[in-house]
Amino acid sequence: MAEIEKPQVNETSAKTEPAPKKIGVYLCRCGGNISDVVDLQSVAESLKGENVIVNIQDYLCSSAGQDKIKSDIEKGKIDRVVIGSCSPKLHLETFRGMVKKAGANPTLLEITNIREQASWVHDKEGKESVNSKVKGLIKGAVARMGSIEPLVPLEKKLVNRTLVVGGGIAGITTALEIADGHEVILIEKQPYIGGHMIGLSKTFPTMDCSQCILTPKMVAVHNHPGITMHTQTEVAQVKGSPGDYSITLKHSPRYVDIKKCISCGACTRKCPAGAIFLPFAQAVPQAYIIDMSKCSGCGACVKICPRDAVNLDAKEETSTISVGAVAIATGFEPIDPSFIEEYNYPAPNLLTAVEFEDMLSAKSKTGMRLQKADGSFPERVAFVLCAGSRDFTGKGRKHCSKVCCIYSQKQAQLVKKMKAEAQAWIFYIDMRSAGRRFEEFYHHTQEKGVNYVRGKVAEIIPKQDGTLMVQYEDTNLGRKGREIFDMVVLCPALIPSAGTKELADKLGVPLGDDGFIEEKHVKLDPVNTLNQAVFAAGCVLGPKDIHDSVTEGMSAAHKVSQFLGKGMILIPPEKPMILECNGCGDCVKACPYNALSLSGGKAVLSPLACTGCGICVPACPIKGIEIRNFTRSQLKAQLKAMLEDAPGVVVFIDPYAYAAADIAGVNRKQYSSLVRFISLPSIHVLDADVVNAAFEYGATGVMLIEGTTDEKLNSRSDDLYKKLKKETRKHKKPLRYSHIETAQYEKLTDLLNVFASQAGAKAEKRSRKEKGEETPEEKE
Amino acid sequence: MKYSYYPGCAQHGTAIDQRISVEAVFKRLGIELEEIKNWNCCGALHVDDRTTRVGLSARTLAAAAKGLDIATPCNLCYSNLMRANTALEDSEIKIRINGALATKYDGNTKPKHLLEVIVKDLGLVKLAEQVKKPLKIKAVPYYGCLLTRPENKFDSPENPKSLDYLIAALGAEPVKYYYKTKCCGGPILITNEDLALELARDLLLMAKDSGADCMVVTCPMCHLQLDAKQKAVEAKYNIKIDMPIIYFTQLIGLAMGIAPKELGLDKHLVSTDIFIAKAGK
Amino acid sequence: MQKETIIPESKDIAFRDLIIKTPGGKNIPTCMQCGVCAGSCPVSHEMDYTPRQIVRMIQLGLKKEVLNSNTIWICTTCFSCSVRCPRGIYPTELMETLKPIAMKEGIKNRNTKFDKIFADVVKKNGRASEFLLISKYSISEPGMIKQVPFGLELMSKGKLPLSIDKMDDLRELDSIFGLGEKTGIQEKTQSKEKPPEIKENDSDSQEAEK
Repeated sequence: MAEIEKPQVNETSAKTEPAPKKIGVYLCRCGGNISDVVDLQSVAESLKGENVIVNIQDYLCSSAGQDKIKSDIEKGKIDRVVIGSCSPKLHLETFRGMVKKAGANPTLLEITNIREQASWVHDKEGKESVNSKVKGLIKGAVARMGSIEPLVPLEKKLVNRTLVVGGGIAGITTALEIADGHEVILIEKQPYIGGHMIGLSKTFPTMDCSQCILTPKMVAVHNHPGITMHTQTEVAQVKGSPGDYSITLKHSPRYVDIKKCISCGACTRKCPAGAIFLPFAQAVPQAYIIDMSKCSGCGACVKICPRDAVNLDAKEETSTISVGAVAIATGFEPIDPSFIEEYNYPAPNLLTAVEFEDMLSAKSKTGMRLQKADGSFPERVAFVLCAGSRDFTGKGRKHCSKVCCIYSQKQAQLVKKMKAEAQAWIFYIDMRSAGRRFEEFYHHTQEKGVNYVRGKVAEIIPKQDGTLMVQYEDTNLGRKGREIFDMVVLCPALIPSAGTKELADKLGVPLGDDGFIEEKHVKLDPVNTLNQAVFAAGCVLGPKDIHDSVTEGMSAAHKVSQFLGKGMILIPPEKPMILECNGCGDCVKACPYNALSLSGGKAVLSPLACTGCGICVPACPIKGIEIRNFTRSQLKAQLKAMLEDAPGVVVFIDPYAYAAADIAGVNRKQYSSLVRFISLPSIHVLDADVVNAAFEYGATGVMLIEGTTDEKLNSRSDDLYKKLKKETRKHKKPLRYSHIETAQYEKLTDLLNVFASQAGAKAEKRSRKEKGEETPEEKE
Repeated sequence: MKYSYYPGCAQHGTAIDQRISVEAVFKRLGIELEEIKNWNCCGALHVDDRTTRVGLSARTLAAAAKGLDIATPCNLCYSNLMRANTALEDSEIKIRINGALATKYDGNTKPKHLLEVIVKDLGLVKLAEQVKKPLKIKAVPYYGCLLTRPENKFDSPENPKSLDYLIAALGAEPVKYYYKTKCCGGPILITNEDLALELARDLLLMAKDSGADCMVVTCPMCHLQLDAKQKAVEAKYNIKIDMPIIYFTQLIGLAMGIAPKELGLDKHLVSTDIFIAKAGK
Repeated sequence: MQKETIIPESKDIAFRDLIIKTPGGKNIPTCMQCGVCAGSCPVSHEMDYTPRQIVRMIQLGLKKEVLNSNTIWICTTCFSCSVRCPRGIYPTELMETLKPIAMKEGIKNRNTKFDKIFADVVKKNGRASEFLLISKYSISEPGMIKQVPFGLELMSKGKLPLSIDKMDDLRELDSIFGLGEKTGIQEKTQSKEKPPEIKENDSDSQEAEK
């Protein structure tokens, strides 16, 4: 086939001669997920005049479905493919891989999302309107497919080094598992690695000691030749692009040189203020640290240190590293329960479960003794589950923290083990012990004589004698109860650790509305993020136990190794092409990534530095720049076909906001079926030409929805919006811009609904006016 | 400072002591309270039909002088006015209710409890300037349930602080009191006295335990329960409590050096003599 | 009240749907039965069903049990439950919703008696004279005689004046109180319009005939 070209060089396009395009449209019923709402037969019929082959399958992603497309290509019936199915997030790679095997160019296959963006979100509307929308979308996709050119992705060499952020059990596992094959830099915000796990006493369900199983791993990290470890270190800045990042690290001062310190302890013995110490014997790195809030600066430690390791003048430092991939394992923190005012936290003998663990762990300040504020043993201890979890009022967190049911039972067992006559009560809403060996653990804890009460604690009132009064309903009996305890342990909601959002933003990784990192696919790609070079493991993906954190650490390591193992990264070929240039340099100034330069009086592109954002397109005063496969004429062709039969609201959307629409789909959040998305690499590729065309072809309104957190782009969005508003004013139709991050899917659907109804109302008013009088008003 | 004033029904009867103190204190603070002409009962918690109750409050809100906020000394009235405003955000309900009113209500009058007027509008710094005799006493800050619930636009629904700060501004010490917003039992006093007294007992015992010299209240209903019914609590449970129950306006008056009688302190059923003597030292 | 086996006929779905549409009722289907409402309630130990159980019964549509429970009359309207509910349910509002419905269903007790007197006094005078309330209520509640010494004590302090505080102009009150009558009718017709209830009633009567 003349059109299907083999990849040749590392340059983008392959020149196409105008041969007839043979487009196949394949629609997926998705086992009823789509076809129960959308009449696919009528969609197929609507394409009759289009000179395309149409085929409907039960499951396009099945081998039967794929084979159909494959054989149509192999038989020469088609060479371009439009698929109507679920979100491209799920199967675009699958389908493109298949097309490639069949000998076609993968970029000539595109997916129109008629599940997350139609059948799942409009099923409460009339069938007519959903069908009409899907017909429009598919027609638009066919027109687009007829207009685009086959491209070959660019290749870029990868930096064979990984940054692992977070030195808890997930980060430690990830680092160790990668390090045999690829170099690893492991950074930890705290002065020592080990994370929350090193602060645990025993671990459920086996009750083995946390330090005993973790310390060897911490030492292994320290000793591994492939791992460079930095404690007290955070990511300050991220530059570069996936596969080739330049990351600036910020190191806080320890005042003790890790390399020199031999942890002899001479300094601690000499310090009059107790400011220099090793927090626990097994700490890694084995180096002392100074708490400057206690240090008087007397210099005794400096003088006594035999190795000259102490430097009281140490300052914050930065360093820059170059890595190809990043694994985020920044874990969780307990929510501060003081916002639950009826619990009156903090108060003497009213602790969080983390504080309870601290008392019994390697970090213990009580000599591993469980004790009340007055030093005595608590004879009656209550554990209060769901403190700030499962709350849908906005005060607490919606999610279940997953591990509290089991760890509180572990803690209750510890109380009983320390003193058999002591009482341990667990107040729970639902005892969730799903997981291997967990129900047995529950049963065993019951056998130990722990008292279970089904009921959320209503209030905790501290008494003057240091006891605490707990009031609740025993919901199994339907009776209110009141008990006095010596100690009450709150099991707070577990939330992403502080700084998760900032780090995720720097790496271009979206978060879910619960604040945890959004997986590429919740089930099928659980440790990948939406950035192909960034992976995640452990509690930054949601609360979980050690077992699951380790499993994810290993998975992430595998994914990182697989990614780095390829040695190079394919980058999307949709880059600017400079068709005409007068050498004015406007595009060079506009490009936020320094990907354009002037050479011999003409603009030249460095494709590897270019992110394909398209900011250069409207910047060129002579319209000499176009993004491949997102050219003005290609977008217009798609718009025209999409709006031909029925008007709608056109929503230009970038990949991050597109992901929000996908989540809205998964959550079945309904919105107006007038909404027609057009997916763009970024909204900055747009200029008034395209938006005016949308209005001319019948759009009742146009929205630009941007989800990227890249400051370089969204700092310019306001200007873009104002410019477009001005230049499309003549149509007197609504134009709106909105920034919606991936997590804000509810905001997205609200916005779409409001805008669609406004646009509709405006259109109606306009048509009434047109019927009534001839003189239209000048002002909007 | 000027407010449209909604005294509420209790000021004519059981809360006459509060009325006397409000008049004495607000005049001296230079805050003008202009009583709403022809105001009506808010329906308390006993006009069971919700729409009617919203209608009653809407009528009072509509009767307020235009441009002024409504001030009220009663938690119940305050709560009903606030809830009416919320209910009237629904345009359908608003239309229906306005259909029954002679003066239509636009939904824009802001109700304020007198405590809010003092703490937020006047400000505690200005109040402290008026203090002539810092009170050397310990006081329980008791807010009652309806001052911050269900609408909590003014202070926290669980652990409000404004009255604590007010007590401190008068030189007195607010004690730690965990029952700040617990129900006093007032609404069921007449129909379920046994239970009402049980609730009052819990509050009074907790106050007694705290070692306070008095309990400061913001609501006529709480005062009736804790002061007038204190003797009944003592008799029923065979305990001795002797806890003076002081309106916050009375406490302000004492600190400003106003004579106890001018504050209605002689009208309490629990004697305030020892307390006044101690406060006056 | 005797607790009966819950069978399909015990459930009045129209009642459930009606309550869900009232203020504070929207989130009833999301109740997870944690009991924080009952644990927070200062008076739940006196209730035959705790607020949590009332919400559960509304979920099921157990109209008879809900309206006959003493819960709605024990509630002191302190809103402790409502500000703590992690699902955004307002049990206090539900009690307020249920009171007039129960009264229309013919439920009578000390509270309904007092509330009727209260509404009457306010309708006639525009304001609630404590003296008038107590004396009217005492006529029908002989037990109130015990309160006479208390009343006298209040009088001695000038706290229970015999003079009745009245509004100058009572004209709007009839139409305001008329609002309630209108809502009442609407609630009733609404609940009768629901087809499921009619169906269930039909099957009930058929079975009875057999």
